[in-house]
Amino acid sequence: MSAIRKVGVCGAAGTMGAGIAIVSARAGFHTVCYDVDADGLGRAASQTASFFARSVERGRMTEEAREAALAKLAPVTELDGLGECDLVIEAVFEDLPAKQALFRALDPVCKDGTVFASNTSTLSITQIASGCGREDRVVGMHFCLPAQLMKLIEMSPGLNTSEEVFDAAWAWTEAAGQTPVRTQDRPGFILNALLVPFNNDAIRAVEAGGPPPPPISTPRSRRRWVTGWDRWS
Amino acid sequence: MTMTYAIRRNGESRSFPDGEPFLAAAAPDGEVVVLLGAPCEPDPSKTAILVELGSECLGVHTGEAAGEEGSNVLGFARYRNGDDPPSALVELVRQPNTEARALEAARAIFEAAGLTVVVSADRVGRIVDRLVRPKYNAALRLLDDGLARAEDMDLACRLGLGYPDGPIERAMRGGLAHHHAVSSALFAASGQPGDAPARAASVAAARAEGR
Repeated sequence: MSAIRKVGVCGAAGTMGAGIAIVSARAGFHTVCYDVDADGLGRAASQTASFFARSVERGRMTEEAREAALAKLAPVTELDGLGECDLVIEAVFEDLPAKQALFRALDPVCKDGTVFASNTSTLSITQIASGCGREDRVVGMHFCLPAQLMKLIEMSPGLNTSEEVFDAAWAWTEAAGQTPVRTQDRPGFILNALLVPFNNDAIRAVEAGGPPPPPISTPRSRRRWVTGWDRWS
Repeated sequence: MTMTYAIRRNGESRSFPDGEPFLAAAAPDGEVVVLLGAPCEPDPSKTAILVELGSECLGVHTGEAAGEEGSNVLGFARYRNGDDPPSALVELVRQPNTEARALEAARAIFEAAGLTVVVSADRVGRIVDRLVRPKYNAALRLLDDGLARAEDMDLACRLGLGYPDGPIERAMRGGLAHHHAVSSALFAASGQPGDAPARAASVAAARAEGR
């Protein structure tokens, strides 16, 4: 059971942030959507409403659940709006100074117990946490794109993350209907550590005169990409 | 294009084990000759001669001519992960001057058997092994490094990448000694660090050899 009740998402006007906010609100958590881009937040809210409407049309969600999820979402353009959140997930640019600056700015705003989570896919959680003032309360929480459709979350503690905080964040991901896996705080975690070199090898094979891309990789649907090693091996 | 084919067999075939319908559909005087372990002899009277390959290059069977080689002889292998059943994928191996007519004939007989054909240059590992073996090595090394549990690495690949199974379970299922053999061949040809067999594969190979 998650002790987390209220969740903040930073960068909520972006694709990842908006998706994470959908995951949170759909699971019944009050979700504060923070972004400096008010217009972007408006566009994200519209896309979120469309996503929930399609979910109802496809029988994946009841009308009541749709209304309840939408009611859980609160857009804000000031950091102060995140003050009462139990968990704040950042999904801002993949830029170390930007993420560090955000957590430093959040520290005096948020209550003492708030857990900070980073959706980084390549940066060190320990580095992101450094200097934020609550290094023991920062975890890696890497969602997959599109977050509202993909169940996997790569969870990684930084060097200074307390087990209690990690466990609380882990419990929240499960309460949100996701499937967490634990990894070390290493560049690329599991997925990108394996996938990026694979993609590079495939590109080099084509450049070296191999077959054209379709036999190597074929997109089957928006949610499912099956590449050569799984189609045939 | 409808083609007939003869099969010359010498021992077990990894591509077409006993009972495969492809074997039963062969004709003694086929226009194409499929060699399953049998030695490769030039025969210009045939539309194509297809040599089943292991990890080796086709040039081992045909000889090479400074990048100008090519004839009616092609290589092929049906992809198999270790002792898993053969997949539906046939990797067809051509040389720079392989006859187009031979290539199309080879494609035709495999596609008529319901298989999917991709064409590769004559390189060790062809397409699939050249791509996946470094990934299995990387996954095994990450496992050694303690990045995550094997189950979590496999689960991450299933959920995050849509794969039916993950690299560790796949390498294990195919057999680490088999993986070692293929990786060793790749590494000998490429010299790329990623192709070098991971420690766990070397251990499995040593045990298999009774060392």
